[in-house]
Amino acid sequence: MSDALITLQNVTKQYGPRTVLSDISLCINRGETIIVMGGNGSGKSTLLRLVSGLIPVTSGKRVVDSSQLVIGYAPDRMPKLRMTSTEYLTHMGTIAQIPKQQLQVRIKELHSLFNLEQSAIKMTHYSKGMLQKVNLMQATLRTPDLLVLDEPFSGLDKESIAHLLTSLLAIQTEGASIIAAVHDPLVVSQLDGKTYWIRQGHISTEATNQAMRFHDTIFELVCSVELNTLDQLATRFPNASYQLAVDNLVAFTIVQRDYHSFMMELLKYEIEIISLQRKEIQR
Amino acid sequence: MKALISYLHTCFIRSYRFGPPSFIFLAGIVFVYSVVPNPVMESYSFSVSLLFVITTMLSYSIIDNESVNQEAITMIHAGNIVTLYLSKMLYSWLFTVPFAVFAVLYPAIFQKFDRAPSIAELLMSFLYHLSASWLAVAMACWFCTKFIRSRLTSFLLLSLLVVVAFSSQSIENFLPGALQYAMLIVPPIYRIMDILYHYESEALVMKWMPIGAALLYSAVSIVAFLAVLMRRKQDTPS
Repeated sequence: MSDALITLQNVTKQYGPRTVLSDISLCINRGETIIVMGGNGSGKSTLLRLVSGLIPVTSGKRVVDSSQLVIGYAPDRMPKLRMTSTEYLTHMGTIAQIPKQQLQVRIKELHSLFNLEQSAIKMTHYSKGMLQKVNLMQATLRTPDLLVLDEPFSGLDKESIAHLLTSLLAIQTEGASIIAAVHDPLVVSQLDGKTYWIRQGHISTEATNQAMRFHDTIFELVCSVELNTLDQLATRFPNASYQLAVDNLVAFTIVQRDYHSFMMELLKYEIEIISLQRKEIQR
Repeated sequence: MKALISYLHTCFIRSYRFGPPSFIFLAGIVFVYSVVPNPVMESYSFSVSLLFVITTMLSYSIIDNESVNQEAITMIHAGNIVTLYLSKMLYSWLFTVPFAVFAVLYPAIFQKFDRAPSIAELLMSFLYHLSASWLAVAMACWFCTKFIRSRLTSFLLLSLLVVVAFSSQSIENFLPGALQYAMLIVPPIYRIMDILYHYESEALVMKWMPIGAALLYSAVSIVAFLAVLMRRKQDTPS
């Protein structure tokens, strides 16, 4: 039996006249972890949707090892549905034809694993982090052969990120392959996998390796930023990740390469820095 | 498919989107029969047309009730997009079955007709209602965001098609010979309405003809829709 679960052969994806991905070749092997990095709108989500088989390729081929392949897919944003997490997971599990008793045990297990209470609160009242947990829970309802995660750490607090990292490593140990689009270089450094970089529709490993050398030191800073300024900063620094906190506070994670120009931008906009921390990543 | 229908039902009921079309239908039926007496089959012709319009609205809502991301998740769990959409269409139709029952039984039970309808008339009327709603589902599916991104455009086009469907016989008579075949793409709802107006004078075969036409149109439309969907999957128009 081949080790490759899914292979993309010279895949191109176009939306009308716009080419999002061009001549992509990628092989996802059993038990392998692949990290996909790239700026906003670079085509990371499109690549993951192609891998999952949610959208067709414009040209090229998507080869799947077996029709019995179990894919777990977690999109970047989970909609706020008018049902509890238990109701939602029960529906998804039943659709996936998981036996009723086994499903209830699994749902309980996942709630405990992701540290989320099985309450009567509907998902419409959930925070972004709680929704993200439910998103990951539905993706792992069945033990997946391949777990496709689109920005899985987005909206999670530090404790949840650490928790999720441990869970992903456990899933990986069970032999599952993981392909994840990740924005945060700090998280990337902690995931043991092959990293690819998408730029202008092309995929490469070389650019990533070069980028990752710079990423060995990162800076975490918290400052007070208006939303329009935040948009400009996000556009100017696609490698920087950020999380919104209370009272207009934003927590940025900056790679060393961007540090000086980022600080200059903050000075230019007269942005007050609340805290700044330098971190060395142990790889 | 049962699990998918149960999930779609939970989502749709909790979205409350069923409220306006359901109210319009029920209120419309009660209002029309507030004046008595009424001719039997001609009255059913009205409820068939109202059910057709209401099912179009319901189906249009149900098919795009999920967000793109949630639909991707459901599709992954269901295994393929065809099962998901077939369930959405089947659910849209099942949702209207109680309306068909109401439309047929309400005037019969509460004596809103000028005479008591026979069992055969009640059964045939029920089948005409079910055919009309299935026809509406088979037509409305083409107006989902998968094929027409703008909700305003799709709504206006669907409304236009509903109007054309009701007046297709007059339009067909007006068109030159070669162009009359173009009317085949229009759902044959007028055939059901027409037979209900002339029910008593028509032969048995002719009474079944509109049901056959509706089923044939729906089958062709749904197979074509699912074939296109299988090729496009979650792709949306650019």
